[in-house]
Amino acid sequence: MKHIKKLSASNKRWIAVFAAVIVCCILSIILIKNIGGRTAVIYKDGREIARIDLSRLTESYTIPLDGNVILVEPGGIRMQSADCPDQICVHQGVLHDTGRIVCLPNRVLIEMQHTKDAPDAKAG
Amino acid sequence: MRCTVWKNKVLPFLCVCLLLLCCACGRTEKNSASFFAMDTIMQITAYGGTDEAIAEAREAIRELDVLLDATDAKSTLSLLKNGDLLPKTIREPLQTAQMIAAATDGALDVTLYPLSDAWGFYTKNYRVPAQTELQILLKNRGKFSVRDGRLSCTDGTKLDLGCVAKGYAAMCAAEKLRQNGVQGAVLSLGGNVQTIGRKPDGSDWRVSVADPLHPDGTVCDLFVGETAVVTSGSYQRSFTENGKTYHHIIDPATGAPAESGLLSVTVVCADGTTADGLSTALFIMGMERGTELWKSGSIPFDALWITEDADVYVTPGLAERMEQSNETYKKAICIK
Repeated sequence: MKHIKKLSASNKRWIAVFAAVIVCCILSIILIKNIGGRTAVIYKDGREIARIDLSRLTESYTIPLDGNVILVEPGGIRMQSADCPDQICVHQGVLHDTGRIVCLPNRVLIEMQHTKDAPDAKAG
Repeated sequence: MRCTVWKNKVLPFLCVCLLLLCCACGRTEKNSASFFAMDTIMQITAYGGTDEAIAEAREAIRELDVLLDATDAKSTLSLLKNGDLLPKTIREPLQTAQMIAAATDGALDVTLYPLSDAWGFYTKNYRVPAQTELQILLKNRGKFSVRDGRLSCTDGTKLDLGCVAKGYAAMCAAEKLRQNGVQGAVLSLGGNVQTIGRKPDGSDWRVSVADPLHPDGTVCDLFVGETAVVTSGSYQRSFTENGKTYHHIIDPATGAPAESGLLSVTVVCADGTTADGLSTALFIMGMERGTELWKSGSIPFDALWITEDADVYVTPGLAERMEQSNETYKKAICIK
């Protein structure tokens, strides 16, 4: 510890610069990881159709997609109706932060973009 | 003197640290795709590798989907006749299924197509067949064997590799990703999970296990390296008639949905095809026979069983790799 006390002025400056850069790096990593927490992505047949930031919505609207109608609301998204026989997607209700809605017969997928705390995959 | 140490040793060291930190900021490129195949939804997320990596993996799955589709009368699998030479893509999953069948006293059976069909699980025209009908279908379901890579089977044999197809497809897709330089990836083929390497930051993959009572939720998270994680559960496909629910996992002993006291079984093992087939077999076998199989060591695997009484059992290899998150289920008991 003794030698730290005897640092020259120029060395102190260097240390200050490094400390500042490192703090900036850490801050930017934290910022990057927190962006895009509530974005819903809609796919049809594996192709991306729309990407919607739910946190910025002010009013609701619907997206017709062949036999499906998707309802987008401030803070949530759901399948309003579908012409498929099982209606599983409609019964799944509203997505807010995580999860996905799948309409297998019509090959539609609505997925909340991965947030920092989501698992990498789900078995089952 | 001390100043020299600072300038010559410590400052360069700090420079390197800073460079490394910057490298960590610029993360490995992440590519992902969601698509439909094998009557389910599939997702691939790959880190690094070429731009074609995911496209090629997807193409490999599509080819297997066409080849192994038992419900398509014109698929390569459906057109197989006695004496035919088996292509590699049928021989490999079939061999794994036979290996599991031998180790589990026939709990896994690839000749049950007529039974699943009678219950309506292919056409979705569900019905409850009479006992006599099931007995006749079981008796006439045909026998087969593979000799020198050729199929030898009796009339009426209809092979269905549905119990291993997704696990096998996941392995083939993973191989395509590796060939294209991918070092870390997670594939989910309708809930059949296969991983490659580790996450870019070197940590384990976090794979959650679906809640069999409320499949939108999860029971626990598993932290795993490169492996396959596959769940078989009665909730995955079922129908209700006269207040009774019938699921899609047919017990070859009865021809009816297995009643083993389990809600789901999750298998973790290196080989994706084995994980897929074994999860089905373990579901049919129930807790007691399943743990006996694990103890025998004839197939190395880890598993997580969830019973109808909300008990959770795990093998020691998973006990320290899991984090339970659902209070509906009891604390996991480690089998020994």
